[in-house]
Amino acid sequence: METIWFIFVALMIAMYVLLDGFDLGAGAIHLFAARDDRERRTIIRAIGPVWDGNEVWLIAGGGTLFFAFPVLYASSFSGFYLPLIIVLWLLMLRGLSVELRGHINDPMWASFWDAVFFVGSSLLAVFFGAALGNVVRGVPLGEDGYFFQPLWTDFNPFSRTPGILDPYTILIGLLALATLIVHGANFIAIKTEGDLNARSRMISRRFAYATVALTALATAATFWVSPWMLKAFNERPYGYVLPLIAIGGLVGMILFNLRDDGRAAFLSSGAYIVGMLTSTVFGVYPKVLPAVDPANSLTIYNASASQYGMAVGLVWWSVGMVLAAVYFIVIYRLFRGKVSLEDEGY
Amino acid sequence: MGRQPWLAYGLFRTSEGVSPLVSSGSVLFTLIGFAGMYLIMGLLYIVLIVREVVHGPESEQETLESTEGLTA
Repeated sequence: METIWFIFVALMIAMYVLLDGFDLGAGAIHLFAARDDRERRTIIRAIGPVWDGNEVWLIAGGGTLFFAFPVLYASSFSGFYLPLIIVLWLLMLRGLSVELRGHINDPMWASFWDAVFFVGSSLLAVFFGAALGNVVRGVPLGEDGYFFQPLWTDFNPFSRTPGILDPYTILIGLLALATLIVHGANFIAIKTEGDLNARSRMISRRFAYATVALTALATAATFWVSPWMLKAFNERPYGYVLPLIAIGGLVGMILFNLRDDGRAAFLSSGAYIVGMLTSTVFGVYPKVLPAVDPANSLTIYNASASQYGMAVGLVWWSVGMVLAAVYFIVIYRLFRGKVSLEDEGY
Repeated sequence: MGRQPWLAYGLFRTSEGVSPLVSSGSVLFTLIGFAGMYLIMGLLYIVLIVREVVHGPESEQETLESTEGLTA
C-alpha cells in the first residue's frame, strides 16, 4: 500500500513537471524567441489557457503528499521553509505578470512584466531542480525527523550541515533549466508559425545539446555524491528501463528537431523528463527523504499515513484523477492547433 | 475546526503543531515579504480600477468599430 502511494505521488510530481515545465520553459525563452510585442503576446496566448491548470498539479501533488506521507510533509515543509516561500513568491509574480501585462497599453509597462515573467519562470526552473538535488544529496534530518536548511552554508555537498544551494544542487538546477527551455521551446514551436516557430526550434536545438552535456555531468555527480543510488538498480535490474527512456528522449529531441517534426520533439522532451524523474525516484525508493546520517532517513514505512486512511484514499484519489484527466483532455483539445492573435481571445 | 490555542479543537494545540526548527526571524522575514507583495498588488489593483473608471465604457460606435477590426 505504501508503495502504491509512493508511485502515485511520484506520478503527480512527474505530471506537474511535464505540464508546468513547458510553460515555465516558455517563460524562460520568451524574451529571446519573441522579438516584438506581437510575438510576446502570441507566446503568452499559447500558454494562456493552460498554465494555471498545470500549476494545480503541484498543489494536488502537495495535497497527496500531506495525505499519504504526513510525516514527510511536516518534515520537508518546515525544513525547506525558506526556498518554498521563495518558490511561492516567484509563482505569484509570474502569475501576476501574465495577468497584468495586457491591462495598460504602454511599452514600459509591458516590458516590466515581461522581465518579471522571465525572471520568475527561469528561477522557478532552477529552484525545482535544486530541490530535487537536495533530496538526492540528502538533508540533515535529526533523530526526531526534523531539519532546517539555510539557503547556503559551506557549499560542500559532503558537509554534515549542507545548505539548499551547493555546487551539486546548482548543477541539477541548471540541468532543470536547460531541460525546461527545450521542453518549452518545443511547445512554442508546435503552437506558432513563421519566425517565432523558427527561433523556438533553434533555441530548442541549442539547449538540447546543453542538456546532453549537463545530463552526463549530473549523472556522474549524482553517483559521486550519493553512490547508494546505484544499489536500487543493481538489486532490481528492470529499473534500467527508466534511464533508457530518458536516453531515448534525449536522442529523440535532437533527431526530431533536425527533421522538423515538432510534435515528436515535444513528446521526446516529455519522455526525457519522465525518464529522468522516474529514474531518480526509483533510485531513492524506498526512502522518501534521505538523510545525511542514513539512520535518520524517512522511508515510505516510517512516514506514511495509517493503512485504513490509505485504503480509503485510494477510492477518492481515483475518482478525482478521472475528473482531472477528463478536464485536461477537454481543455487541450479545445485549444489545440496554432495560436493566432487575430482570433478572438479566450 | 481550530480556535486558539487549538489547531484542531480539543485534540491538537498550536504549541504542539508549530515547526520546531523554523526560527522566528525566518517567519518575520517571510511575513514582511508577503505583506509587501500584497501591498503592491493592492495598489496596482486600485491604479488599474481607477484607470478603467476614468476611461469610462466604450461608446457603441467604438464597440462596433473594434469588432469589425477583429473580423477583418
